[in-house]
Amino acid sequence: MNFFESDIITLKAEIKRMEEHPEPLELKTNKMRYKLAIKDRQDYLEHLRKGKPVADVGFWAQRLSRAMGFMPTYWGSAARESKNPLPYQEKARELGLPVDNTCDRMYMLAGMLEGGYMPNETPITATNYACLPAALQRYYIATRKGEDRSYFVNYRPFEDNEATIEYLVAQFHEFIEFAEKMFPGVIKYDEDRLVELQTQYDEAFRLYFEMYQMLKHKPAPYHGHDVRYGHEEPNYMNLEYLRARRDEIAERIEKGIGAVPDEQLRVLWAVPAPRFMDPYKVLAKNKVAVIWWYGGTANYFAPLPKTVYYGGRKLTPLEKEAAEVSQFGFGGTGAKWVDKLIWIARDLKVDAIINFDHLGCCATLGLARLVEERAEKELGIPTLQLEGKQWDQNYASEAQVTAKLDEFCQMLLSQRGLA
Amino acid sequence: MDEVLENRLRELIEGNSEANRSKWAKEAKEWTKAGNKTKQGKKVIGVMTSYVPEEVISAAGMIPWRITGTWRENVDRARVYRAVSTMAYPTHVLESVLSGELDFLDGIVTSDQDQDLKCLWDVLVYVNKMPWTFCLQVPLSVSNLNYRFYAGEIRRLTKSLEDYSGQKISDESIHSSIITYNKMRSLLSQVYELRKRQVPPLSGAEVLGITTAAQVMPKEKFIQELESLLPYLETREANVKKVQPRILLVSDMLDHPGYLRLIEEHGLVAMDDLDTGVRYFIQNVDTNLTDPANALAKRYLGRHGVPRMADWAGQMDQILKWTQEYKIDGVVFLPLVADYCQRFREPNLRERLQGIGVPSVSLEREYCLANVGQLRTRIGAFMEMIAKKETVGRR
Repeated sequence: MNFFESDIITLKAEIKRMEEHPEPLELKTNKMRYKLAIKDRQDYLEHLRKGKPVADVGFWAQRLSRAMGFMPTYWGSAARESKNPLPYQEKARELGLPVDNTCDRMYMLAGMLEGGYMPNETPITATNYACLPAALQRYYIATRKGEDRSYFVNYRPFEDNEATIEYLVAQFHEFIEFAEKMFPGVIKYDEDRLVELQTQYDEAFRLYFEMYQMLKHKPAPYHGHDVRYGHEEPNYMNLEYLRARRDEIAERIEKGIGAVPDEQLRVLWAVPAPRFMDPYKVLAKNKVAVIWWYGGTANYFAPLPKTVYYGGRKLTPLEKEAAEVSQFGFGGTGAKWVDKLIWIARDLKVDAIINFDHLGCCATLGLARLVEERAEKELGIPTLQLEGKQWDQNYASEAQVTAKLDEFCQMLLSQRGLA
Repeated sequence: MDEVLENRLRELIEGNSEANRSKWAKEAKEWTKAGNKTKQGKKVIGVMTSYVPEEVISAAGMIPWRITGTWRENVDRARVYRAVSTMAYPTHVLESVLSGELDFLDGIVTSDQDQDLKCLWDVLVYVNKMPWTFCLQVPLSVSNLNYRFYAGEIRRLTKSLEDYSGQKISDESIHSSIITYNKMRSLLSQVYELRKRQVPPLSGAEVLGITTAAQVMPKEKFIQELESLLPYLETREANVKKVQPRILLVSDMLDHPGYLRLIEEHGLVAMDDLDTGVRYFIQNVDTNLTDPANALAKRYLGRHGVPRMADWAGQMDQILKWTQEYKIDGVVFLPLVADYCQRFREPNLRERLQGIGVPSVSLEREYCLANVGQLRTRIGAFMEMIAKKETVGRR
């Protein structure tokens, strides 16, 4: 059974759990999200069964690849959503990959492929849009066992400027040419379809911005996982789901329902979180709500002032894709990463930041101190630097993480006279 | 042995030692012992990666100077900004910056060759201890589009240097600089040719000394020295305990010869795949191309590169070719802790080496010379293993 097949079972079990043993404060529309995720996995498997091409493009070219006729998938999500990652980790270690010092997601994929948990796809695309190890992992897969599979390499510059837009668009053209040649008659760029998807996403982002504003309400109508998981996966841009979610959150506000009973304080969580435990429950137990998750995609869902570097002119559809890629949180300049984090923290009036010092995250680890110093200086709020990995408890166990979070919360509450 | 030439050679080999490395740079900028400038001589620009086209810096009338981070283990100042699990070279460079050791620099240029290097640049911008910093954006692969983009980056660097220095950098001055650097590259290529000998004139540690000296000395001075020493090298024999097994060393950001000396307690480092070694000078810039930015882009992007570049198949082919050309008995990988680029490529490369009967070992290392006992033991065991292989000595 591959990952997608097993994930469908897991998602169905989660829906059943919601129906039979609902948690009082979880969003009911999560059920819709799980159904959409199931459909996504089923579509993917169907695509594979029919021999149609899939492309692992992440957020880099999700809409573009759909507009070309690919089934886009993001293996990073698969690695992230895996409920039992340790076999993949051990497989990756067996392969000689740097498991100990690397972000869990960046070797997990190779482990999943080599272990037969993930079906293969062509063409492979390699890009650094999020981080360099994301590209390295794909080079590894492409050159494995002497096979130099034809794959497309895309480079995302870290500066936001006109030259970057122009360059990314040129690369999109090359990707289109590459893919149309590889799959003649099957893959064909359809600009009208791209515009249709962009229009859908614009509306989706608008709905997300509405939900973002609702987080300013006290108590926060949703928090933790519901903040984190609203933000990824292509089918989470489904408008029917987002409208239902928005309406459910609005109803909670009307009824005074808070996601964290007796919420006293609110924090922004930056970079991934440990997945071997539920840190948001630990915080909730301490009456602290996690009202924003700040990461690669997360800043698409906040109404951040966008860098306008194209003179305000109307962008062509491909230029609009390029502008979106350029706004991705990871992989840009450090100043941009911290600027946006500070902006959201200020706008949402958070009381503290929890910065997950994810071992191996070369996109953010080198910026942790900058977050802390600027948060202190510009907002007067403290930052907890929480070390660990997403799945591997050898670096920080559940007990250790829990103790640190408890201690930080007690310190915060005590400082505010709320302990 | 010609004592005079041997002494000059030793001086060159020690060019990047702790005592000497900043000597020429400080002389060039007329930096007094007190750390004050009597008058402004040339500006010195610290360089952190081999994707920075030094020719442009030289053309600006400045001295490019490859930054060797502190070789001390204690990096407490840098630890404020850099976690233990981040790459050590940028951490040691930051320590040097924050401690004042690099106060003589007029700026630092790096690239996003590695994301952690880019993050260091972010910190340098934030701490604001350097009057000028720059980070080049380097594409991941080679194509006409990427050459054009990278040429654009080189022009962006040129413009930034012009704004900083207040002086125009002409195409002619860049072209002249290219000719000088090509000369340096050709001389170093000749040194590497001599390494193919059964008893080469230099040990691997000595060669690293020379290539790192090239990166901190004014190029004209380095060229003059090496050119005059080449005839002597033709007759010299390396002073090593053993000339077999012959090892090819693979790493990045390795500038401490102590690591090579550990290997050479048991054999010879006959060749390398180092950014501080062969990759620093491999492939000349094409002087037939009229636009210097394009010419530089073609060379810097197109040459055999770091594993961050997508052409792993080509890189591995080149390394395997070197194992034949240099009659290599084994390959030692010494990846720097948290160097993902090297570590991700390593399994595939080691498998290919195994396929042609070349054994290898991988030992993660710190930036400064550390964990010597452990490394010595493991290297020793590997070298002993390959020394026993019956293929040694057949070639």
